[in-house]
Amino acid sequence: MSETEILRYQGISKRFGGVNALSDVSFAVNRGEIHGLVGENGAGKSTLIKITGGIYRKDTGQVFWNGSPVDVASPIDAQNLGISIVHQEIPLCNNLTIAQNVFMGSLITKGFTPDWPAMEERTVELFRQIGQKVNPRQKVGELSVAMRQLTAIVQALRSKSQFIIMDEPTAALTPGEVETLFEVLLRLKAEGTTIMFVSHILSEIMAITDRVTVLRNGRHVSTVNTEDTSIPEIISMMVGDIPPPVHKASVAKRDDVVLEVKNLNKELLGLKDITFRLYRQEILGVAGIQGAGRTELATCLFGLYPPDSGTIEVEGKAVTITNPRTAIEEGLGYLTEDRRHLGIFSDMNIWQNATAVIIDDLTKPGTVLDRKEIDEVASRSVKDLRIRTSGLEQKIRYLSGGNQQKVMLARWLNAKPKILILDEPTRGVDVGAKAEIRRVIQELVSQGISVIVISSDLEELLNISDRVLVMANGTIKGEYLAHEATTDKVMALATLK
Amino acid sequence: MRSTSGKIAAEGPAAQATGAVPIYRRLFQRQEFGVFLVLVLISVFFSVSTTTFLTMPNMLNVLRQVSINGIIVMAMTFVIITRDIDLSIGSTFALVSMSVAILFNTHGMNIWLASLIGLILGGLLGLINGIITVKGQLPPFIVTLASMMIYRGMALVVSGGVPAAVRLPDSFFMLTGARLWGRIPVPSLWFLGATIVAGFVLHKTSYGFKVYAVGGSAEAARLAGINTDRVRITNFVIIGVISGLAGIISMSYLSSVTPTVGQGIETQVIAATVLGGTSMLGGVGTILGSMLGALVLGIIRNGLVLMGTSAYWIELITGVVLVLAVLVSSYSHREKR
Repeated sequence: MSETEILRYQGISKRFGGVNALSDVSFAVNRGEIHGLVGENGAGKSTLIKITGGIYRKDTGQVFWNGSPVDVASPIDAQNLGISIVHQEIPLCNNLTIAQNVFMGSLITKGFTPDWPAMEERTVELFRQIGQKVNPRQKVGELSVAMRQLTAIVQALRSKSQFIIMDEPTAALTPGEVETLFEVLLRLKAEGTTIMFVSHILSEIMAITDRVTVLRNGRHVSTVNTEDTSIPEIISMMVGDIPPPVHKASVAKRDDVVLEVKNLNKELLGLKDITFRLYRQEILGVAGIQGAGRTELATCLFGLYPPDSGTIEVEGKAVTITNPRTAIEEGLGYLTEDRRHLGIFSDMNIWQNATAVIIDDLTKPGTVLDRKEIDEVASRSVKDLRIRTSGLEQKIRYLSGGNQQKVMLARWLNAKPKILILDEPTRGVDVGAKAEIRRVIQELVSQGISVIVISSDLEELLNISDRVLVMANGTIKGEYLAHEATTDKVMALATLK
Repeated sequence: MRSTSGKIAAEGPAAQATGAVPIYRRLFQRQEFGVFLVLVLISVFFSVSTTTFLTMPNMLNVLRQVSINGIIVMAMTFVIITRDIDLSIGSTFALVSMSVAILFNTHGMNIWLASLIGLILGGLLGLINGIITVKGQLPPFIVTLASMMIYRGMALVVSGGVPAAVRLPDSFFMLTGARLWGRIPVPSLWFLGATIVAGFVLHKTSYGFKVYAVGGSAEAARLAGINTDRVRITNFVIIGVISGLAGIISMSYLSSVTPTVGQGIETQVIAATVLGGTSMLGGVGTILGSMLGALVLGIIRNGLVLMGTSAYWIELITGVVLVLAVLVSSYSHREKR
């Protein structure tokens, strides 16, 4: 056992239902390094993190902490050892202040009362340690995602963590915020804290980590020095061998308008005077920075928040959309960006999730479910979308994020919409699944469906779209044909005030 | 249902494991297993500790005793799965049976017609609960707490606080309150029927599907085009009708009705439903579990009476067993992490 090792995994395995989430994973993390952890969705990253943090128990194997075997049976055990996880969705109390959140676990007290001034002062100090200024009395609910993340990091520092796991920390950050985060991480590293950095964005992995571990299908592929490897090499370790994506020519019919939106307003969502067209079999990208109103536009079109004014025409016919059901009846579909809360029914199984929109059509006379037809539809979805599952009766929450996303996609494909709105379809999805989702989108348009794609990954958006709308401040600032657009041009429009 | 999973699973490498799970393991994994275990344990206990428990007349007696509450438990399962609650069932029970008795006794109305009107009244009472809760976006606990008082008050007002004896025609009595061949209590057949119908609706129809979806995540259900308001309101109507039905059956069995009848049954019914594995957090629960939950509560009461336990102790012991049973049940199907 090397002295430089802070944490070692030895033969870790974990099964969920019939699926092996981790099989015999062994590698070590060195003290004071930034260690990248990469792998496709379903590769086992989340499971490994949760085992490290005491949220899951391993089935077999051993974790060594500073050279000695430990049993991390609960998150409290992990905290006592000095292990903290900064989750993708950061669990903080929105109704409390920054200082109150930072000291939630162990209040500083004076006699029997909490000593808030002392805690506030200490909070400011801790933030200064990572190079940040802060008002400790600000409510966490008012903070940006980036500040919430830093608050979680400070929370970890307060509890004297030596090992901090960052789970997809940059997913919701702007480029500037990412830079700040990296500065903070390098500062922590300089002070001897060990960081495990989990990300899908390989350029970040290359930029910030010292070493990288690659997982594939629950197995450890390799741990390499970052400077000795390259992005293509990491990708090939992650996915094995897959054919490169093929960009097909556009099949959009520019003389056939499927959806026409005129002067749409929705004050509640900050949408102002939105006008655009969608052509048949077109892939229309919607670009913009966070808060530009892209998701808001989608939810407004889909009837979740019906518009205040403006007209919507589907195939030349004016329609009134008052709720999602009427939107579905008019031939719309909407794949949500918030899969966990607005997408999956976590206690329900694959077939139930895949057929939720069309369940009324899969009935025998009356309302009796036609299990034969349902099974046919659901197993076709599993096959077409290559969903990795132990069977139709498996509960969806046991699937990896990428496979859950495919079930969500199946739910909408089964509804056979004319217009499908995909909101961040590849967010938090790995290279392999990304290629697959792109393939599905191409297939959809060739079958006659028109697609609107919202994505924060601009390069990808320009790659798959025929045309791109650029949104900022709740309105459409302009549009480009994809082959004329560059990321620079789009960003210039997107950041217009 | 299981066979299909085997068929699909055979295509994937991870699948063999699922297909090979032995039957007893699957039995353990079913969420009703915990409450089933409790049922077996207390049955064994009372069979050993009394001589009268495990006899045909007593078993039929247990079935009769649980049937009135048991019928309502079936509807309560739907309501709790969608994360709602109905505290007004006891008052609906009283108001409907009281109204039917008055229509029959005082106005000389045909008992079948009076009962039909009673069921419609029950549905209306439920509809009012549902509309105020769902459209008014209020907590169902508060709304039905208020309607519990209002409906009870109405029962007292229409009856003038006076109990009524009802002499029902034989044809009606035979189908609602009698014992067939002098033995099998008809209310228990209604309980059985309600279980079968509820099981079918919840587990085999698209309505049942929507109930689970709304309980699992109302927002996701809405995005999937499910009319969540309608599902929840329908649930309230169902439990209103069913509470009224239970009231009429009880009236027939007892041949009388008082305006204070059914007080406190909401606690019994909710306890049985939760004991059966239905989650107050919504989205989880089965009719089989609820039926077992109703039986467990009934058996505890019955067995304690047979043992000669004082009425004061029965209440106390029932509460203790309830909390233990829920602990066992939740532990047995808690997820392994």
